[in-house]
Amino acid sequence: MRVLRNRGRELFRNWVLQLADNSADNPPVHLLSDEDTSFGVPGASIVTPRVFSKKYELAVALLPHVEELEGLEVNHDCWAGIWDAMSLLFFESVCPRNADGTWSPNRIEHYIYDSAYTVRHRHRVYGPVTLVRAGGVSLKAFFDSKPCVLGDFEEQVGSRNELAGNPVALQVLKALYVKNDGDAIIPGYTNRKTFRNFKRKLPAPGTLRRFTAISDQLKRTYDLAGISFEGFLELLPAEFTQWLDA
Amino acid sequence: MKASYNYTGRKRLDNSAFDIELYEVSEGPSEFEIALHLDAVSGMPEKSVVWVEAYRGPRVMRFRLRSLSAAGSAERYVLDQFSTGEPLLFRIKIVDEGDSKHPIKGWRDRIRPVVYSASGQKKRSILPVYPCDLGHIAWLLDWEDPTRPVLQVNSRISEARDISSIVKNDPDFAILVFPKVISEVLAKLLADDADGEEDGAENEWIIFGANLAGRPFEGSEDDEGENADLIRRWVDDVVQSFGRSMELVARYNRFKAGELK
Repeated sequence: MRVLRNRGRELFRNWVLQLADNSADNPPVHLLSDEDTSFGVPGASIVTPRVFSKKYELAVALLPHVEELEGLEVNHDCWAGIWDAMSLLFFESVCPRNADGTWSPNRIEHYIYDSAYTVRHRHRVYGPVTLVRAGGVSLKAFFDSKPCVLGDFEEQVGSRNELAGNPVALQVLKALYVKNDGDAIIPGYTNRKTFRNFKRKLPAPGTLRRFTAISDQLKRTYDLAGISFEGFLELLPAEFTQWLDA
Repeated sequence: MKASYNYTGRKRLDNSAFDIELYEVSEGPSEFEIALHLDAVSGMPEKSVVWVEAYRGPRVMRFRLRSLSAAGSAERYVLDQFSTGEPLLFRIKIVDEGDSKHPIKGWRDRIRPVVYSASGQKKRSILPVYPCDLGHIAWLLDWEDPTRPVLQVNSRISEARDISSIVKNDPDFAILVFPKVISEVLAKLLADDADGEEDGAENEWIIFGANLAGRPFEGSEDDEGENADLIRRWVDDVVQSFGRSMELVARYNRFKAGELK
């Protein structure tokens, strides 16, 4: 495993930014072999590039490498370079393409790690890997989409540490929104609804955004980080019952 | 007067209920020591567990204290998921784990530890400086703690240094940044009139301002427009006084003259 240095991150960043000019260029993977732009971690295994069609597969494949690097006690300051090296290595998976083959990148934080908590989870490697690390197989149905797609689940849950890093909360989300007999998401779990006297649409009862809003309130009174699965379910108001019964 | 309701019986821990000290280590992660005083936990349910959370933004490290009955003796933990110098805050939760819903029975948030540098010196600053990647801007005020802003400086430009070191060594940074920072902090604190949860947190800044201005701030409770005007005038006085006491213009001139030689 090689890690991008600051210089390498800068060059990768510039390359992503110029993709707006309808470029179909190959990703600058040479940055990962140049000593001026990257360095190897002694003892770390080699990460072989491949294309992933599912976000869950990408996260499961990269998680062991992340854990290995943690075990090697890589300097804390190197992690941005690690996430960006993975983003570069798997750029084919994390960046969408137009029909004509040109790249169609999203915002820069999807590919270049930004430590700000408001956007950090959007990084297309960091976000899925950290969530799957906490939630494991509970995330499989939510991460059935392409790695390049952020989605409402990651945006809502990934930005809340008390949920994103909480295996029980992720298990509760699976219990609410994934059908018991399979890996399929129950349709409508991110729906919005029009309510009388409100001009704009609001999250429908029991949906994902209601869950995050309720959790924001509950965490002030209950220790969500240490609660059991059953205890968490007990705390949820009646609007979630229909989802559990679905 | 504010009205508040406490349906859950959650108790707010006083400052006197705990001591938290953070020790920076020259090579390796920082450590912290916590002592929770016995009287702070009296009356808590028998199966209560004390959790301490060190955090910055969404990053949290969570530590379970040995037991409630061990309160009083200090316990030390390693903060290996944070960089040295990060302005960390702490949260203490006393949780009734005998109840399946894990209600929080005792609580205190936004605790600022007493920080000791690797040389053992006590560190104190009303404006912690934290270098981080700010993209294409030089500095930014982080108001995550509404009573104690952190000055973020772009790590692409400079290394982590104490604010006094930056003021002392970088006259251009001092004259261009600090008057604006002081002005923004004081104006916001006074406009928000935040009494917050932190005892005297904003007072550090308000006392700092009063010392510089030579008079305390006296606002108008009746007239919002007049109050805004009073804030602006008082803050202007503070900032001018700061520039004068730090000789910002003279130092900057000397710096530029040396640069041009």
